[in-house]
Amino acid sequence: MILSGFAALLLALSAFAQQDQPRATADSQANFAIAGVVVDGVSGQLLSQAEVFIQAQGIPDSGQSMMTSDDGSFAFYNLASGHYTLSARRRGYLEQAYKQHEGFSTAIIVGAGQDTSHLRFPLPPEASISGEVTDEMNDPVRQANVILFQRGLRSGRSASWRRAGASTDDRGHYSFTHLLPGTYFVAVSAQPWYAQHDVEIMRRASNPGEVQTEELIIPPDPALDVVYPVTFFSNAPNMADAAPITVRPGEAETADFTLHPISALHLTVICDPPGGPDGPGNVWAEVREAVGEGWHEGVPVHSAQIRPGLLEITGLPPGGFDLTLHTSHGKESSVRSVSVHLAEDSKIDFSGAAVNATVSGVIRMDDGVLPSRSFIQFRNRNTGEQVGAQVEENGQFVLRGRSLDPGNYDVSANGSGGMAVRSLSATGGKVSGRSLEVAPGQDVKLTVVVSKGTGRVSGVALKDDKPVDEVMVVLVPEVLENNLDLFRRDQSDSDGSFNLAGILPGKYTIIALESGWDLNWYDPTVLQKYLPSGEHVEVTPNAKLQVKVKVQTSFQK
Amino acid sequence: MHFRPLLLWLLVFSPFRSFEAAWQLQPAEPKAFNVRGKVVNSTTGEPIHGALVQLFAGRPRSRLTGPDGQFVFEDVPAGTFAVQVRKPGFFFAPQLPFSAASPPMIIAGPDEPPPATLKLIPEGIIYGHLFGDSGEPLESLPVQVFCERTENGRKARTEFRSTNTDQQGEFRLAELPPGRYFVLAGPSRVPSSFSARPSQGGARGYAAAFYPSGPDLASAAPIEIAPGKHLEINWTLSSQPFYRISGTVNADLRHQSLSLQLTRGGQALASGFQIDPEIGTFRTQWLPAGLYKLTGRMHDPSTGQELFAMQNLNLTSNVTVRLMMVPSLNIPVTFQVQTTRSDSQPGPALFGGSGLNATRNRQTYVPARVVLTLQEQALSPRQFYAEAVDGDETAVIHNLLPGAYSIEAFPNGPYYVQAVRSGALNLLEQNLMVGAGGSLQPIEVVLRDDFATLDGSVALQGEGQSGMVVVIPEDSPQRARNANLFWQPGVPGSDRQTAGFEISQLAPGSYRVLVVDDPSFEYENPDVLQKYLSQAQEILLGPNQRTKVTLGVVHVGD
Repeated sequence: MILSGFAALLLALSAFAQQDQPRATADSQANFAIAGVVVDGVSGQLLSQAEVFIQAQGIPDSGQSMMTSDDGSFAFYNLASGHYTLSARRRGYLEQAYKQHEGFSTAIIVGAGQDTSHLRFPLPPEASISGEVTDEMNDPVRQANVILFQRGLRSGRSASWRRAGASTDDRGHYSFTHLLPGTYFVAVSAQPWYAQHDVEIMRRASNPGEVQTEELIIPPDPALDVVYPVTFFSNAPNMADAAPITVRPGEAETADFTLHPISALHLTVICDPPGGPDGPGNVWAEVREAVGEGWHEGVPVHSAQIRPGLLEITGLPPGGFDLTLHTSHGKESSVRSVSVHLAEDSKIDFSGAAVNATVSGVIRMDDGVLPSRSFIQFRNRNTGEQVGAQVEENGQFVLRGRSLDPGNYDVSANGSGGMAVRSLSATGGKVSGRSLEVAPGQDVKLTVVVSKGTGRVSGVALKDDKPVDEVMVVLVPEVLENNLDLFRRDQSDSDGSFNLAGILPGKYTIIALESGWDLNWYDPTVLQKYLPSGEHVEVTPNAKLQVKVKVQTSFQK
Repeated sequence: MHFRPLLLWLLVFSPFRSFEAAWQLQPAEPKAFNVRGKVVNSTTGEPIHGALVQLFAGRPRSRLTGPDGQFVFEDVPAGTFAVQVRKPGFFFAPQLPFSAASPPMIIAGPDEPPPATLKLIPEGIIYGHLFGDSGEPLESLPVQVFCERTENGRKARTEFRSTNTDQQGEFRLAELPPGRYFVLAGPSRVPSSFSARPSQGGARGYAAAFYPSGPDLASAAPIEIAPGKHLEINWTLSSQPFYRISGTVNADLRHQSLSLQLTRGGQALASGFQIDPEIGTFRTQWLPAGLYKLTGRMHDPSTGQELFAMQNLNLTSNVTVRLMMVPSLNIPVTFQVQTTRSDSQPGPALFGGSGLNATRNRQTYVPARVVLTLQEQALSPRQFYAEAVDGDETAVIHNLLPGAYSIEAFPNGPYYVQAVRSGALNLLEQNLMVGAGGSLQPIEVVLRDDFATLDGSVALQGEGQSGMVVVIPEDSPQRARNANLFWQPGVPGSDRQTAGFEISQLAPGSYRVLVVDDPSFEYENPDVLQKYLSQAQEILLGPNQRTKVTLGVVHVGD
């Protein structure tokens, strides 16, 4: 079952009827039960005083709740047959749906012949990482930006991504709570509160009595013209050198930081002065520093225009970052970006630099209709960074602000009622499957044809002819590479059933993996092994297929 | 008129941060000085290490104090310069909002200036834990702190800072300047517990409560935060039943989007509305019992009309309502500008500090900014602004709620407001009643250009003393206006024993003028004003006249 509105399970109790879900039937006999115990996900200890919720899918106001008794047990009686979402919460544990994995869980199928009275509901003890950030004077650093990265599987690949952000309080204290066990990194991005980066520009006549002037740049006091470099725990400049924090269930880890200032760098930028006879235009600089994989933090730099076409950027930390120059004059504006690596004060010549490539295009449905309220998303294959754009009423979209860095991107589309990319074509970029290769400095015009995924496959995961719950079911397209948008996943429910919806017509293989939740399922070499024993299907428009899939055991772990 | 003291200082010192100046190099001063001093904690007198001292001698120069709190600026030219000090966890008195303190000035030359002692006021902190019925820590509960201040002669309580309790139920509200505060906790965002059937009532949560107990400010205990005070509040809340409001609307929601707002005590609550356009229903999040106002707005595309519905609810159980959308309440505003002066230019002219929304755009120019304030029991009552009608020099106030309103008009030009009327009703004296379904008569604003100007000189009791001028019309004391004293800091040899003020665009007539030593003087409170009115100077201001007056400072308060 896919958890919709997963963010707050409690809201399930108040949610309106989910459309397109199997409904519990009102005329069924109401003499079934959901019962079992809630246990600690690690020790197996029975948990009393846990609040357990059930909600019949598709029936508003059918939510019920109870507390587990001293022996950890709960029981809901007099239930009509149907699909139920089961969830639980308790202090010290993560609030979870039953056997939850990522955005999936196992729904409880209630009805004749189903044993739903002996459930064992493991709740994972929650963990935390907290610490203090202090400066070189041993004073707490307030409002430091603390970033938590998690390393693990994301969209079927190994990745590190920004999990959460926090700001330190007046004691320099931060905390990340309600964490699942796993591997994490913590980074701090902050600036000395006393830093002074402004340069002063004085103009004077080049020669006494002359109209022509020259500029005198007075740098800020070097003792105060300082920055804190981004610091990973423990005292590392980047994620590669950082100490991973392995968080075990129920544990509270500590990661303290002491920040040390270093001299800020100055960058002189030569650029084409915007403007015309009617007056000068504006130039401003934006600096973004890569912190971890796929995550950029803005650097609060100062920039001063010494004279048109000459910009002084101060407050830069040493290292690599993206420098973006925005220029505007009247209604015209342009954006130019460059990646720079600075070790000392430098000069960079931007004049004549190519304007950033823009990625724009049009989306239409395969039946010619304009899709309503849709969104297009680009996911960088290497960094995992995701950039998206809202599609306008006329089907057009433009990636505004920052453009895509050169590289390979998986393209996907979301919209009301569910949709998938049927085909992709582009000018200025190379397309393979549902992915796009962006070359430096080249504008890309995309044509995206999307389709309401009309096919549906439901079925049951079987092991030795017996249904198995909690297995990961993956719908794999015929061409594995570059087709992220065609994959569909689900988790088998208590009767082994699963449901894959919104499938584009085509040939697929369905695999069911026991303990498959740690699998790099988007890696073709990993996936190959399971395909021979999968169930091959051909989905035609509006097809509603029913399949039986053999459960395989994940080779990993 | 409604200047805040802070503004004056910003004007004098700006830009603080992005300093980019273009000027001719001055010939080098023959003599330079050392400016030394020490930064100390204003309550303990202890030196403060690592404070940033900035001296505005031409360009800002910055130094961090050493371990003994000492600083020195070398090679400072002769002159009078402002200084500023910063350090996290401390406040510099002149930079506090609504501060009466003037910034210290360093006078360099002809002699070496004596060492300066600069004081930093330590922050106040309110922190503590929130616990529930059975002593469990309450997580993710909002905690707000309200600050009580007197602004423009009126006591106001405004939200100052807010936070959320953490996993241990702990909250911290730091960086509080000295003052009077109120603490509000709650309400729970999701119920803390449910009974067996949440849909049939029986969800429980923690309602919003002022410390130490009570649902409103009247029952709240003020918390005085002295400089450096760290106050711990450990507070146990009691859960109460939570309910939900569900409803339907007399409109098709599939083609028009409905926007809903729920307020309590005038404060908008976090939205948590679920709207199902297919069925045409909506539902709120779970809420504690209490009096609510539910407002719905939508745009009818077929008629182009804005629609609204408002319903007052006393929530004591799960309720279902039906919102009846009716055309929204809009009131036109017309202006009559009576010009008597030959130099008077009808039309847009940016003038003085008035007319915040003044614009040079002829298309949207209106002669006055008109604000309606809903008379409601609320921390910050809602206000509605007149919007200009294109090219028409008229305006309209949109989407009013039924209720009583007070009206203020601020000229967008060299005028004073002579009258504000609605039919025979004098809106300078009486409230405007707005009811659903009734006819909404236009508001007429009469402006004249033969205004009077008061030009004052004030003898200060001490160098750099701060003060506030209050000008009280004899016939309508509730329409008093204030102004700040000014002098020119930073100019060598400026006389700091006297200050000046100017109040212009006054209606001709009789006034009383009072200069008080406390910028937070609550002159809109008749009981407070009455005590000092006898010390005010009576003055008659004639049309088109500039009247000069010399006043002394009256001490107000204890």
